[in-house]
Amino acid sequence: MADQIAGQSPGKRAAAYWFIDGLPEIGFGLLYLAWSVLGLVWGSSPNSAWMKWAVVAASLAFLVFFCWDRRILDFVKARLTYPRTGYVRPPKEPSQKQPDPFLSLAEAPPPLDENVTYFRMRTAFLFFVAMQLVSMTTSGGSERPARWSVPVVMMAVAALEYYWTRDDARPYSVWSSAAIAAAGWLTVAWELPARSTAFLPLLIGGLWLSAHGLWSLVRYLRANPRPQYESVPR
Amino acid sequence: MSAGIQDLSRLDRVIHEPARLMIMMVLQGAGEADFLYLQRECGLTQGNLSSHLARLEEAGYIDIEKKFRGKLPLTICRLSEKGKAAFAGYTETLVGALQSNRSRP
Repeated sequence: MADQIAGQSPGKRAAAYWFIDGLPEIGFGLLYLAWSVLGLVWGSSPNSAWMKWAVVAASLAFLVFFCWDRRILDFVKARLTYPRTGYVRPPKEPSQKQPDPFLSLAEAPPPLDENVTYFRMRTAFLFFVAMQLVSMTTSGGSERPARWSVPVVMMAVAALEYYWTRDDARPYSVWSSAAIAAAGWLTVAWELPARSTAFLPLLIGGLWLSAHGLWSLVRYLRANPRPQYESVPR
Repeated sequence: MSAGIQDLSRLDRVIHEPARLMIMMVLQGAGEADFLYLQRECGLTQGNLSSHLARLEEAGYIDIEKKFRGKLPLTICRLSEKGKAAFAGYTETLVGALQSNRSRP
């Protein structure tokens, strides 16, 4: 990540700095993992008494994180990142001005200023859209999505992920994006209950985002040990 | 001398210093940043950055706010309206002079 932001403008470096510790990816990754695990369990035991409460709790967590992700991440960063490498204003999300997520996914408007990111709409939300697309491929009254749907949708997600983020504050390499497509093909061999299949994009997204985030976090912590309080310049 | 080159004498001397120019550029792009971030981005020593921030604050170009995030004290710096206008004027003058020099055979 540090290599990717070298030589960029100050505003774009400020936007990229938001992702330097991997926390945004870990946040969305864990959220998607929790949701997908819940979905997979729901498919095999849909009538469990505790499932209703688990779905309510997961929905609340999902809503809270999607609405207040900046505040939550800022709270964590204040304890982890800012003491090590300093604070800069978090980047704006230009897509907040566009109420239709599908329209904002397709558009590439010029940034309001340099310190902006499209991470939430172009990276995190994309897996959520993929889940919806997979669940729409049911046919003939069956609850099971078509067998080809996950690999095909995940290939599209991988291509879009690479294409949309290549000039963004948090770009992903071709190989990293290709891992999404490969994971989609791997799921073909996985026999799942009908209802669980639609949650596979979220599972892939959760694993992919968490892996990226954890890798960034480990590298960040190794490169920036916590300074002694007295030596922090203030 | 042409008017384009003579415009250079009107450059704002407060901004026209490499360290202060770096600080202004970072703050213009980022919106606001704390002392540690500015120090890392600009590659300045603690004392050097402090003196340049004081100079910019004295000129009214930046606002400095001391606050806490968690238990961590932060010195947040951001461009003031006067600073934004001064930086825009500085950029315009400098770019104008350089372009007029380039267009000359």
